[in-house]
Amino acid sequence: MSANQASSGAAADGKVQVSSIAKPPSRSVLAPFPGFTPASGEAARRVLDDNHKVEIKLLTYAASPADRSLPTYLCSQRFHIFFNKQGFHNHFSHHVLASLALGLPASGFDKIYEKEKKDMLDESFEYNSKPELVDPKSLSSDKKPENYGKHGGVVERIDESNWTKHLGDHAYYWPYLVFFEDYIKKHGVNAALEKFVFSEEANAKDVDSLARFVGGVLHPLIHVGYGLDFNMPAIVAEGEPISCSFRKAEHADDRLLSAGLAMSMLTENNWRRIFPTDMKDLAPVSSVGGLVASARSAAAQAVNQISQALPSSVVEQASQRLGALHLGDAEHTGASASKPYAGLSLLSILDLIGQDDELAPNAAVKASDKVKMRSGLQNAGPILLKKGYFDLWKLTEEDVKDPNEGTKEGGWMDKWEELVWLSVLTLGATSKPNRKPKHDFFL
Amino acid sequence: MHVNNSVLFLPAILPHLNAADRAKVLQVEMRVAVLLWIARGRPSFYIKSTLEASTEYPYNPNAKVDFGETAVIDRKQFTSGSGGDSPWYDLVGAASVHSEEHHTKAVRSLAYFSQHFGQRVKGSISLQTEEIKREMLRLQLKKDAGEYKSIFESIEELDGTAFVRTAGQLFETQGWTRTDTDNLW
Repeated sequence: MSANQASSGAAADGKVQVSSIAKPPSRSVLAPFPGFTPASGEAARRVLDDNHKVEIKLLTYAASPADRSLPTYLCSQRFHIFFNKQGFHNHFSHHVLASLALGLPASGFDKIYEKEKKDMLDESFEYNSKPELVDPKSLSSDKKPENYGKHGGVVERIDESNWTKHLGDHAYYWPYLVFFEDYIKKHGVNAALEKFVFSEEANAKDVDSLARFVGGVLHPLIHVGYGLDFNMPAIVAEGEPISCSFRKAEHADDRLLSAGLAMSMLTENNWRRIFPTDMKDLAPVSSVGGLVASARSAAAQAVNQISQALPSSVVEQASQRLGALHLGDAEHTGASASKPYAGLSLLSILDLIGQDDELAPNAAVKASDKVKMRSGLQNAGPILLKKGYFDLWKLTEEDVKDPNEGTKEGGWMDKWEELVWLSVLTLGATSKPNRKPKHDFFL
Repeated sequence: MHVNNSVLFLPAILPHLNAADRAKVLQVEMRVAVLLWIARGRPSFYIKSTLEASTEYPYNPNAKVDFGETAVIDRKQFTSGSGGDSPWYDLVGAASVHSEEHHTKAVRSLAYFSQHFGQRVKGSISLQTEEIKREMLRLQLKKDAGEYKSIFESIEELDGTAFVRTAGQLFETQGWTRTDTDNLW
């Protein structure tokens, strides 16, 4: 039964619960391991469905019962994206999808669910009581209901005109969720990401969407990542995100995407401290390497055209020379994770920062600091910006192109590889030698 | 940990974005990663004495694979030395049933990174020493180029085994199963 069918059958003010996830997740586009079977897919679907079960509530307008021109339905999942007031994230779907992708057999998913229910899924937690959504216009400023803006109370519906109004307010998870689900269905996820995360509008003062997207230790990005990881092939293959999103409206993935964006809106913007105000210096730069690559490509093309009109011996000779000069290798001109087209590699930047006494251990951030991320942002952030360390990591136009389809090299692969080395080394090489390793699961 | 678990998704996210937005998300991920590293105390990187000292063949000590009459592999005999079969089968299998979900996700990331860069040989990852020294003097971090001391111990030793070694370390700290602390598994 689809959400629409269920809602049309709902009695006024009644609640109807319907199955929201009718199909198993798609296979991971990143790392599909053997072991994803019909049974494990179905088991994952079943527990995800229980977590994401749609609760349809036909609402009345609390403040203006006369205005029923815009009937409002709250179609929501059961559990808020935060499972406590400190904003700890509900990771349930991550656990299910990561295990599914690693080949967990069907019998394991109930155990995950039991464990996560014990740890973080508590229906009686106040964040999980659903609010009533009302049209902002139906609320007069002097006569707001007592439970306005509270968990389980009355909240404004989110639309394109007021989406920046309730940023950071945990009670607004539900209307943001409804809004993003709707937006993604109509416009596709690419348009949603552009408009609500990356655009100038989304990064106006205090909106700071990009900072929110990586806030809360990167969780909104991770959540959206899961949505795209288990959803992408259809979108890319068909090239029509809108119809795709309709087609997959009953998939877990759409919920992950909208939940990720909704989470982003509730997340603090404190990372803004280390982003430039106008984000201009985040833009890709032209590079000598890029120019060389296009020149090589043009030269190779010209030689190819000429060769068609020449005797084969001449062509052969020319191709040998081409090979010697690597002129044909226009896709990848020798840049790598250690030798970028421009600027310094990320590991080189870390090594440079390693020479800076102002950023030494116990200087900007002290071992005794309670919230190290905060002291990092407050004390180390300004030093990093002032000395221009971030500006040394240059993304050229080549670095943001797609990798070569056949070899999977070039394009953004090199910059991604730099981040991969940073992430593996901070995990695997920072424990003190000759001691039991220590890993930081928080930062 | 969260940098590891988020970098995984960049190849899923980037294709959905235009060139300008790709640059934004890469730059922002980089800034967050650098800041978190500093917030953790700006640790040095002990490539030889920590990373390379961790086994390249981390096997599940609880697992015994019996292929029947033709082959019996008792992983215990390989844990300290060379490999019998790929340790990733043990790592992935144990991660899929692990009750600490950050661990499950981290091993999945490392497995994926290894699929891409596991074949990197020693010497393929290097530092731009001359540029680092030049910037160090320009920023007046040190007075003399001779004062440069890399925080990467033996980067020339770094190779694609970093991923499997790190995954093994994670099992060392998180346990192969969590039955001792958590009776669900």
